[in-house]
Amino acid sequence: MKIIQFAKSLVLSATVAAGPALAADDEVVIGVSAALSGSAAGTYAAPAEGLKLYLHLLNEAGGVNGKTVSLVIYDDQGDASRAASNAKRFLTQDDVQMIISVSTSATFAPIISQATRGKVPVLFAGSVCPAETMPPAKPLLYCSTGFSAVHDSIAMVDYLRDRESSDATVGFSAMGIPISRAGMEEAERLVLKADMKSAGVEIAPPGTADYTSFATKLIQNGADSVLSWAPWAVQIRFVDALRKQGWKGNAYVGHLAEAELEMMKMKDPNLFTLGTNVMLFEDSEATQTLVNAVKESGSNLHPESILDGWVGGIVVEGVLEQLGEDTSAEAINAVMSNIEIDTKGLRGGPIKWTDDNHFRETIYYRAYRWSDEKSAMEIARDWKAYEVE
Amino acid sequence: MSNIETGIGKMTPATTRRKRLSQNQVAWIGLIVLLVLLPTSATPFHLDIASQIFIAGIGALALMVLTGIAGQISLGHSGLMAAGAFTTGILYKEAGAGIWITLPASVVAGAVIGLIFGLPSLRLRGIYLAMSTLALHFLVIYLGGEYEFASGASTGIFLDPPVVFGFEIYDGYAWYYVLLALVAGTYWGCRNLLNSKTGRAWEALHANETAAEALGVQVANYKLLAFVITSGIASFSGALFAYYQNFVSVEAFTLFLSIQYIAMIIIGGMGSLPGALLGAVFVTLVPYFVEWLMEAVPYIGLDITTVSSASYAAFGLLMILFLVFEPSGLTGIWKRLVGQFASPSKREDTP
Repeated sequence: MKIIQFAKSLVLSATVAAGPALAADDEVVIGVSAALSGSAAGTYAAPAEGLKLYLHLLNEAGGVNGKTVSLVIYDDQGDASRAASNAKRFLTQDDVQMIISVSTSATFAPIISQATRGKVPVLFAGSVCPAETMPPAKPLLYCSTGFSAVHDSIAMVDYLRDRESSDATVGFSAMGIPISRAGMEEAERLVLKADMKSAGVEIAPPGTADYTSFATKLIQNGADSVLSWAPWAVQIRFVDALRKQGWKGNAYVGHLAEAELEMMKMKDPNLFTLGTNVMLFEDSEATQTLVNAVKESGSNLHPESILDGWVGGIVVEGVLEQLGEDTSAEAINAVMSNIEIDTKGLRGGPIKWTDDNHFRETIYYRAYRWSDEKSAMEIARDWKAYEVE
Repeated sequence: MSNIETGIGKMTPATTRRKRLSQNQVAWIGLIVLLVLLPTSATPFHLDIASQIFIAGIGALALMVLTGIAGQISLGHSGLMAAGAFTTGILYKEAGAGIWITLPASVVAGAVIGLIFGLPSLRLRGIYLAMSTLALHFLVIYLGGEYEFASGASTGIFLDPPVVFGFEIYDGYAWYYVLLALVAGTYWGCRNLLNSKTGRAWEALHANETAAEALGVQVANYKLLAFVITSGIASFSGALFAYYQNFVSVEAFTLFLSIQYIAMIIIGGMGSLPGALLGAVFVTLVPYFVEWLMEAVPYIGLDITTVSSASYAAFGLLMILFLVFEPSGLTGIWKRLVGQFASPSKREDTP
């Protein structure tokens, strides 16, 4: 069995991660900077594998209109300096036509800076969507990732308002990084605007091991429910710290790659995730395709953890479908700036980019939670569309 | 029997020193020529790594002087670099200031922070001093984060390449030579400082504070001076980082960065300025070397995630190996190698 997996991996490496050495006229070379190791690897390594797997299968099926994809993958460890180095390498050494980021927000600035200078489009596929992709979007920057701090917060507050009483006190937890804080500050603003009360925004510095003091403060401030948007581990440790102190309110967290597996372990019916990706317990044709592909690749990864990278692969396929003879970075950018991509049942609707919106015109959110009655995950609220302004 | 006693046929100590000095000069000239000519055969990627090494080298020299020479422990190095980078970024973004304003301002900002956070060193030592410098890191990062958040720069502050005498420094070759000159200048400055009264005072208080005070060294003044000067240099390297990478973000200055700098001076060899530079080369190159190694060996190169994790782990392992087996670092290895290959007469001269 191991020998078969070994052989499959060799084939996968040879066909997808071959790099520019095999690049030909009908090949589109894409550079991927991903947090494959380091503290953030738990979140980002799997989507990077999902992207690689999807494009491998695409190449194996003959590519799109005769065009195949050659991926050049470098690890950035979620570190800004490494990402800067990777971006320079893509542009000066590998001559990539597109860059894909599957990493932490720390790596965005150097990648955006270098790619903008080199006039190469960047797709954030698995990384949180940076503000630069939202309307009015900056040229060359696009995002297909399922999560976004501000929009997730809007959807979470909307769902919270459906479930909680109108005079509820809501607490917020964030990680001490700008993107997480921005999400929770926006959520607090929306809660106050809805005449609900705030128990404050607790911001835990990166590397915090014990969230007890932050959780205690929210409980002392009378939080009936808590919203959190941060890396998955931070969100869940925060909820853990609340539960250990006997707090029984509803917790609403962002739906990230680890969500389904972890929620099935936690079995907490008062924990809700809001997100744009489907969970794989639904067993649809789209989810089956993904699950089977992972099984056949021999990978040890959990299929749900690779979903955002897989969708990134769908986006690349969609772009190639509309690309003509010219496969330059400029031509790719032209296609990306006006495109609608079918997410094949893995999201609530298509990803549509326009000249000034490189995030999506409409974003669809679904809520999930653990059901004690069914002893399984369940949809707490079905898809709801939000216009992105 | 000494060389002086035997006289004829042997070199006197004076001529030996002249010859050794001459060999050192040849070695330095060779190194300079090599570094100057390196870009002619280097790819842009190699130039980028070299430039990263030069920036790290400047930062490592600062920490070496503070910790390796003056004996003051600091965990706030990353915070000081962040202070320099943010001073540059904020002045650029808010006032459109050019490099001639931002760089000196970053040095001054670093020196002032160094003065403030050097004050605890007058009462604290060892782990307690380390903890107070750690507070510096968190404070600077907090303030930087507040600025990013308040100014809406959640992705970071973007900088255009600096313009010097009408010439835009963006190209990898230009950065290589600029940073090479700056690291050489910093090394030269630190070396002269160590050969001065100040350097001797730092060495004395590192060896034994009480004895140094008894000898007339004004311990408080020299400790503060060490913090002020090295913080200015660290801040300078942070500003260079900002310009070189074209961005500033709190997320680029993690606590892990401080640990990497401590690794540089440990691996390089405590108390040695060339050791700081060797440590910068080593720590910067390790991840790339591991990656290359994994790619070169097909079986290991199966899983890219495993490859990358190995690179991360290799860093920690190397730190432990150096601490246990080679506390004098790369400088110690170099000295032993020179001792091995030197002629017996030279070996006798080796202390």
